[in-house]
Amino acid sequence: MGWSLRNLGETPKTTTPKGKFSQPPPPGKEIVIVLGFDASYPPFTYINERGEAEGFDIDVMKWIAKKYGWRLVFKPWDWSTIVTALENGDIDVIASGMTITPERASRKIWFSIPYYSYIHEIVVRADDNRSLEEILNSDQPIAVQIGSTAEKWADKLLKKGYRFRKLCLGSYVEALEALLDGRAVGYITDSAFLNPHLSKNPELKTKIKVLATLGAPESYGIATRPEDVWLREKINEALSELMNSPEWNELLRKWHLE
Amino acid sequence: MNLMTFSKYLPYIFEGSLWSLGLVLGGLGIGFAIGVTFSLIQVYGNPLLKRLISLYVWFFRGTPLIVQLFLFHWSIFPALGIKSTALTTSITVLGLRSGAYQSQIFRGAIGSIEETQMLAARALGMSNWDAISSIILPQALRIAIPQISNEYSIILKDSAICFILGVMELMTRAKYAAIATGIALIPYLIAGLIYLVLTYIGTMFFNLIYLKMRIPDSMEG
Amino acid sequence: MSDEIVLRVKDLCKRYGDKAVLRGVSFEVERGEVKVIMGPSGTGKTTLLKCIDMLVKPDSGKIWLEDLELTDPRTDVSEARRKIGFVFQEFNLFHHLTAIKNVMIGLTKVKKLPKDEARAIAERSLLKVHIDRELWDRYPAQLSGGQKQRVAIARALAMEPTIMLYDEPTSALDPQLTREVLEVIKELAEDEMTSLIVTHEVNFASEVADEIMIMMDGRIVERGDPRSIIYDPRREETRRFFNKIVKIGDELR
Repeated sequence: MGWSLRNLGETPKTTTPKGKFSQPPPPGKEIVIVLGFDASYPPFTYINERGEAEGFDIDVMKWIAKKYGWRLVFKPWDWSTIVTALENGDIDVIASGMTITPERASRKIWFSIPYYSYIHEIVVRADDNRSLEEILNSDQPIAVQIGSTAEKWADKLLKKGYRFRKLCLGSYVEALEALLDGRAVGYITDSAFLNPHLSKNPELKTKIKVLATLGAPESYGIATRPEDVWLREKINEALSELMNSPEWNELLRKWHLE
Repeated sequence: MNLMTFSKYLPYIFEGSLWSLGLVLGGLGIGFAIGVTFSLIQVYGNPLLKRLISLYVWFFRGTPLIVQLFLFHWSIFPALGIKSTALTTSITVLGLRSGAYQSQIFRGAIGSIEETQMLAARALGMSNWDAISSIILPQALRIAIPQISNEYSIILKDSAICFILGVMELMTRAKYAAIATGIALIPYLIAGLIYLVLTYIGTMFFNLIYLKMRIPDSMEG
Repeated sequence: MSDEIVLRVKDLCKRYGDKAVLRGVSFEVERGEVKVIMGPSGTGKTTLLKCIDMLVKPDSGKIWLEDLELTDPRTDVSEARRKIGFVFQEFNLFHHLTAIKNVMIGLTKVKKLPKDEARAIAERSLLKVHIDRELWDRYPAQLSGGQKQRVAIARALAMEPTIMLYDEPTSALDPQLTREVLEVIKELAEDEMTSLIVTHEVNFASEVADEIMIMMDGRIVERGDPRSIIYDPRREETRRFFNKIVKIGDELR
């Protein structure tokens, strides 16, 4: 079999993702990379008013694609199924503020070299004078984005015996809102999201404060299928080059990430 | 980011309603074809086919839409070697699902028609097939219109779930606009309003069809 | 009245469960003849008519329509039914079609005639049963009982059947409307339309029938010309039957 159902210029997914990019493709053939991203994570990935993908990660991938002459197709995808999409060939690459964790790597996705680091933080309202211990044992809601590493931190803390209620929301922004309007007393996020967000919304700096950092600094990586060896090599090469060039700082400044 | 910036997202959000509508109409259409066919088999067909259709209906009515979307997109279609986009899978699954529900709607409608209509048709010398197609079905379809209108509303609401496969319909776009602009309430309000309008237009349309086509049951006709 | 036999029924039997409804019915109908079947309710009269039209399959016995044996499994019964016009007690007009469309549908679907030809025949048929033009585009629900039944007769008539079967055509109608329908049936009968009629209307039967058959307990117990059957029946049951129904203030001419 193998008949395809195309529609409205959407890219059909592959039926045999095994080895799509494990070897260099034959010369002369146009290379199309489908980039999956969660459009709820500014400044790394989001959608502009024209419906186009924008963000730090998007610019990084665009740079890499430009270097090699690849054509990029941008596919917004729901975070909860984005890895399945990668495994099944709906997308070829995930560049979406995705933290490199051993657990994710064991889920059959392999990462590029790290391209950005951040640290997890727990944030409370500026006028809340309770200590970290008090907040964590308050039996009240602490907001996180569902499926994110922030949520994993919340789970870790709950396992350690702290008593609070985990409040899962659809995005970092929504979780922050929950803290601001009082639905939650705490908010676990990471500096990667928070710093640029505060740069763009300085009035928030008076409303919230970082209570503590959680754990060690983490890094983002670009995710690929394990067998796509060639693709990963190429991405790593390009990333190294980009990160060592002056364009890198420009990029960081553009997105308030320095 | 403020309302000015947000207003620029309106075309993007509105475009999502076209996709939502596409999902709904596609699903409703496929569901209609399946529903009528299966209902006829359930009323007039042989026992084996009836059994198979019962299983089909039981499966599609008994499992959540989201499970069906995953199953088809990531298990069934790849196993059959079918390349399908998120949109096509979504419409297909919505259609198969609606077919299960519509088959019961039409089955009920056909059942509500007295036996004697069939008897009179046969007495004229009509074959079973002619009797079904020119006497039973035309009446059943008219009777079923209000329920199909309801089915339209249901599929419209179900269509939002298809974002899970990456279909950029209305709900998803509202969400992304909300996040990008940092304004939570308004995009969702607008999306909600658009759903209401789409529901309203749809039911109005079916109402009109119903009024035009209904079988008069009294002098006021 | 010619001697040609249009309908022959021989030893027809039918049971429903353990109840024997027809226990060996036999008779013949000649071309142009009007036969009336009367008898107490529940004696299988409706079943008899339905068996003749093969709407119900008899358990045993044979039925011939002219040269065609209807009970032969090789016979295409749908074909045969075109030649038998059936008028139901409950009219059974098609709800979703106007009066004229009701009459046309047999012509277009079964006889496969072109629309304008079907229309012309339908119009003639409707006029014959005194249904005027202004009623033609009405739906069944917008017609009176008497009008509905006349449209039903027109529908059967339009097919130009060899024989008309009437199953208690006026039982569902009140007395005023009954009259107009019986008038129509009478006109058709006088027009040499071969007819087999099941009815309770004694007056009407006496005016229109060439022969009356009395059915009781699934059998024809007596048959003869109207005057003798009604006034001087041979069997006691027949006499009692007529006494009962005549008591309802019928005046026989």
